[in-house]
Amino acid sequence: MGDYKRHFLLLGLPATGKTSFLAALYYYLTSNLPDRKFIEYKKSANTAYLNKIMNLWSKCEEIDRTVTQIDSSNKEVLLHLEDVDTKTRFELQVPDIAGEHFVAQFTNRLWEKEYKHEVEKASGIALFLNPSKIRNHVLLDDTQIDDDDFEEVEELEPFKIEEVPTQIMLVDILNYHYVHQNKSPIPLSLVISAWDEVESENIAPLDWLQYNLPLLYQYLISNPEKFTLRVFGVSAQGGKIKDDDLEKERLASMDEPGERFIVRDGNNINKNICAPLQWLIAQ
Amino acid sequence: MTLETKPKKCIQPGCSFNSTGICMDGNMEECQFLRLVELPEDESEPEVAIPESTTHIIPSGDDLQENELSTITYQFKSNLVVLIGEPECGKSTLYAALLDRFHKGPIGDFNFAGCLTPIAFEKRAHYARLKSKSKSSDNERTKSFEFSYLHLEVRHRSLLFKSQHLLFADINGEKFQRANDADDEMSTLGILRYASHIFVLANGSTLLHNSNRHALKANIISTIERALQNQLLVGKERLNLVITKWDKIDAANEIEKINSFFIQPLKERFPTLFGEILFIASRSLNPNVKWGEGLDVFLDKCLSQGNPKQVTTKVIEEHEIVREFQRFKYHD
Repeated sequence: MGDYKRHFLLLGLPATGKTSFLAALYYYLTSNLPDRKFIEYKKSANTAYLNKIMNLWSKCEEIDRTVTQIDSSNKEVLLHLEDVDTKTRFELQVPDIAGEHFVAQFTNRLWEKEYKHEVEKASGIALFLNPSKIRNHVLLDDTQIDDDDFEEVEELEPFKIEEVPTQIMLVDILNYHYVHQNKSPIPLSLVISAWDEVESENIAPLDWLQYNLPLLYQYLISNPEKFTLRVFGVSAQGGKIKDDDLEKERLASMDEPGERFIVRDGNNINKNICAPLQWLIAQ
Repeated sequence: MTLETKPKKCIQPGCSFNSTGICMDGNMEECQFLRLVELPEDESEPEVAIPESTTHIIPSGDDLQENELSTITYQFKSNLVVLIGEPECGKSTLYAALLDRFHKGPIGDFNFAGCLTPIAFEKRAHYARLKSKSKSSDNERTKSFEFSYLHLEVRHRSLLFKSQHLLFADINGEKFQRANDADDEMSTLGILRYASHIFVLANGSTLLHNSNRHALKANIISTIERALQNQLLVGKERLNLVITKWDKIDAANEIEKINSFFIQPLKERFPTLFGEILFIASRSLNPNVKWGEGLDVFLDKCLSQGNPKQVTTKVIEEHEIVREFQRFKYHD
């Protein structure tokens, strides 16, 4: 089977779970989990980095860029994968880029030329969202606050571009990624991370998107010529590891870390953490 | 060879002038990135050292200026919408509410499909948000006395039709007050000729108060008459009259009073000019009126076929473009 290269972008604002996903994915590829769709047939040149984030993930530690001592620029990750069913081999290139980089793209209106080349090469995008990190606007008209309840403030808060609602920022970022890539429509795998916090609502990921980020949802379903969309709910950690020591201990003590995965695709719930990339690869 | 006949090269990242001859800024005369090329004596192909930029500029997302509109009209036919109204009549608030409403879901039968000026919308909406620490549901006033433009792309929910593009013109309301006073000022509003839809806005809150409503009515009549006198409304089948701040009228239960004092007299004065009357509550603290009420009708109107139908930038031949929208600037 001849090798070929697939290049995907992982987009997401800060703390949306991109690196945790990558760590969990590397575990999936290199472990002995049953029913794996892909395996790593050749060691990645980025093994040191991948092992570092995977080890943190397996211990339920937060994967922090200061911990991993990675600067905020691109961290190119190249994986050599084999489809277990078809034996097709391919290289998967996924630059792991800090979320701050995407915020800066929006606020500074500049892309590094190098990044533009990454986008031009991409044959798919995985966009990460964290339900607990969404910034919505609250209109005064939507609040029931009497004038007397307002604190006296000396000055109004000025407009800050970096504080615009998450939906606005993501639509703009997606728009310029679409403009600069060469595939139309471009496959977009939208990953709602920390799905364990949402799963109790028993809602399909696409419906969650519609109710919680209506503007982004409208944008994506109104542009089928630009994006082929699939929405996944993914928990790479399987539970809350921050501010909940008991839960963290429970997760870290599991015999098989891969049992922590929660993936929801439509109404189907499974542990196939690579589903968002598997879908992109199939497009 | 004179300087004027020497070729030019553009050093602006992202501009296709060197290959297409089209200046990204739309104004070759004033573009700071165009450089004259010094040809060697044998006039062979010049070698120009253009510094390699490491960054790629993406559009600002803020208000568009007139010379930037062709970046949209070059690709998409667009309906140009102009709101006429005095300061604080609710022009900017209406624009801001439009995108705020899409934040909650579709407006009528239309989904949000894109926006090339999200920052311009967000700035206008800021002071209506809790985060601003404003006490009233207020909006950023438009300061500029030159028109700036906001872009919105919407699509019918059925997806049976292509997306439609809207360009909203915005300007400080004082510009219309000045235009009331002098033909010279009115003639600078030549954009009205090119608008697909013109909406005349009357502040519903002002119409409730005896002390101010007479002046408002007189000013609106005067503005329309002067616009007609300057042939700015030629070919306009209908102007749309919008009563803003509908929430306050509803709370005061004064619709009949406003109808008899303002709407009917205006219709009688200009019997063929006004079509449907729209009542809009872009914001509302009235529990009986939801904020955004009337925006669906407004959007439908904006998307309907106007006269001229649409503004566009056409390519006639290679390197020769006609910016139909921009003609007014040069031919007035």
